[in-house]
Amino acid sequence: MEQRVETREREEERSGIRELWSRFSANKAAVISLYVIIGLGIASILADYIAPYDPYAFDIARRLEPPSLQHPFGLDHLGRDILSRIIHGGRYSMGIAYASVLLGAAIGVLLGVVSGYYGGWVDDVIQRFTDALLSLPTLLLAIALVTVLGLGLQSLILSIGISTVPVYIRLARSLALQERNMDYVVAAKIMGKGDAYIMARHILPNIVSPILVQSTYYMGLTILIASGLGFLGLGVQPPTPEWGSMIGLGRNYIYAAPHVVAFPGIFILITSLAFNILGDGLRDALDPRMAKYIKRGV
Amino acid sequence: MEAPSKMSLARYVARRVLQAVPTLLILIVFMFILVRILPGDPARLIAGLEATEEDVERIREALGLNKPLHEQFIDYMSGLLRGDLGTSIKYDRPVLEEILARFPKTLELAIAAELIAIALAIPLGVVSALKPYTKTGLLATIVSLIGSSMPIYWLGLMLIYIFSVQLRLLPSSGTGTLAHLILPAVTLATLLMGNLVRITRASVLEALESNYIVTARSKGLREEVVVYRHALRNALIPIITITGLQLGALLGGAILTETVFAWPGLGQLLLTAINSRDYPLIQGIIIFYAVILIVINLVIDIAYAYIDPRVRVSLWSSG
Repeated sequence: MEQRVETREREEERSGIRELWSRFSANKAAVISLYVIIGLGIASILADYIAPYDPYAFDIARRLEPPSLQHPFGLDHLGRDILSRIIHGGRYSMGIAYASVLLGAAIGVLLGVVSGYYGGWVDDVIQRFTDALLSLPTLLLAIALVTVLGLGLQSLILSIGISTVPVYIRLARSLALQERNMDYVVAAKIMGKGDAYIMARHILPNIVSPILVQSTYYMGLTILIASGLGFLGLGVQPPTPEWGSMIGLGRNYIYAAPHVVAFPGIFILITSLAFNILGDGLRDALDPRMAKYIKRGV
Repeated sequence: MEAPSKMSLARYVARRVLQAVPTLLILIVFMFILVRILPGDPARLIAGLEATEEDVERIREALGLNKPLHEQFIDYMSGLLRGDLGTSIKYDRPVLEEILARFPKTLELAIAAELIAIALAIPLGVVSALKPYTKTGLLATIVSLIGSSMPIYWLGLMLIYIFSVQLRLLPSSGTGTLAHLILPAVTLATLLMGNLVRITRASVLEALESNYIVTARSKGLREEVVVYRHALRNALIPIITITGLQLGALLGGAILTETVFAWPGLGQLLLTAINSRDYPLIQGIIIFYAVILIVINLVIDIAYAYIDPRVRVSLWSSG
């Protein structure tokens, strides 16, 4: 009996995913965006094999050379191949974004669910803390944190991650508040299940869709923040290739060699755009009504 | 949060003010602790590598870093209450003076950007809501997506290349004339366009579906009257709110824009402070930003509650 119920559940789950995919794939732009994201991810992972040149190898004599057949995106101010640097740079630009979104979502959802589920003074404390962080724009908060934590990959991920935490707290809290009084939660309480069990097994699965959509939009935003910090010189440090710092270093040559700045920026724009379009597609496929809870853009 | 009625407006105002105080206090404590748990000794960092032990000690004393932490905090808080944000190490002037000298420039840039964004995004959002399946509707979708995905510092550099280097129409950096303002303001406006178009379209669509529009139509009012008299007027409240709430994004984006165009505002001051490890200045600028944003959000919430007693306090308080 038990087993039959479980197989049916699994079957339902499978047909649910199939239905979700058919709704999602109706949105051509979202499907293309998904492929773009997967493609960029694979290119970053295989950077060592597919980049045509060594991203660190310089040739001062040929500095700022414009795009050619040999070097499709041209050479930078030290004569390094820009295409190879962009392919390797994706590891940092996108890797930082993925890691900080995971970190921010994990901390934020945990605090938000606890805040909404318990209410009372716990909620008050977490909400005042959230208000304080929300009173600063995300970029400024990230700048403040990175100044304190110091330059480097870990502190960069930590800073960007923490700066997005308040948005996830708000989202998870308002969702948990709705679930808290649902029949199934009340039933689980009567059955004597613990609070941690109810939050993890009942509330979390029911609020996961809006959080997934929020995280997808925030991938688009964190790529802008990570590269923005790189541009300001507060992100990944040279000579490591990262899209934003490539623009920051190349801006001094904008008069003579605009290609040094142009190509990394196009990749930032395309990647961020792809995550935003994918977010729209996921939202519409999962539940368009969630839109009012989700925060878009800066 | 409960919806305040006109009767309880005074109570609502009191409660919002009381909420803003701990928010600000938490932020100040947070910044205070952050700056003091810094890896390394700020006094030594400021003094530089060649400084003698006496130099470092002198700087430590000047910053009050030789006192116990709670005394430092009391000194700092009592200074804040008197409007004293400390003294800048780099400029050797009061932090607040330095901030107030730069802030008008950032304000000028922010207001210009907001005006450009409003002038372009609101008509686009309204038309796309009234005629969703047209070219304008598609344009609105594209603008709102690109607005949310644009690395604005890159856009600024590309605009410099086109309008300063190639066409020689506009200056690439500096300040003073209206021509200097155009490129930075357009760059910063792009950051606001995405959300503004989206919110405008959504609120006009919502207004068009509401009961009073159905009533207005069933009374046989002309379509133009329904749209302009009823729908747009009611859609305006959320639109005005979001423009106010975007101030945080505006100040954040201004840091990038000011760097691109060498615009001598608060964002530039912050970066100079970071690069010269001027901790009193860094701390002061961030607290200044926070105070401005908290006060403005407070004013918006109260104004909103005053205009519309059914007000639901916005989910997102800023940036």
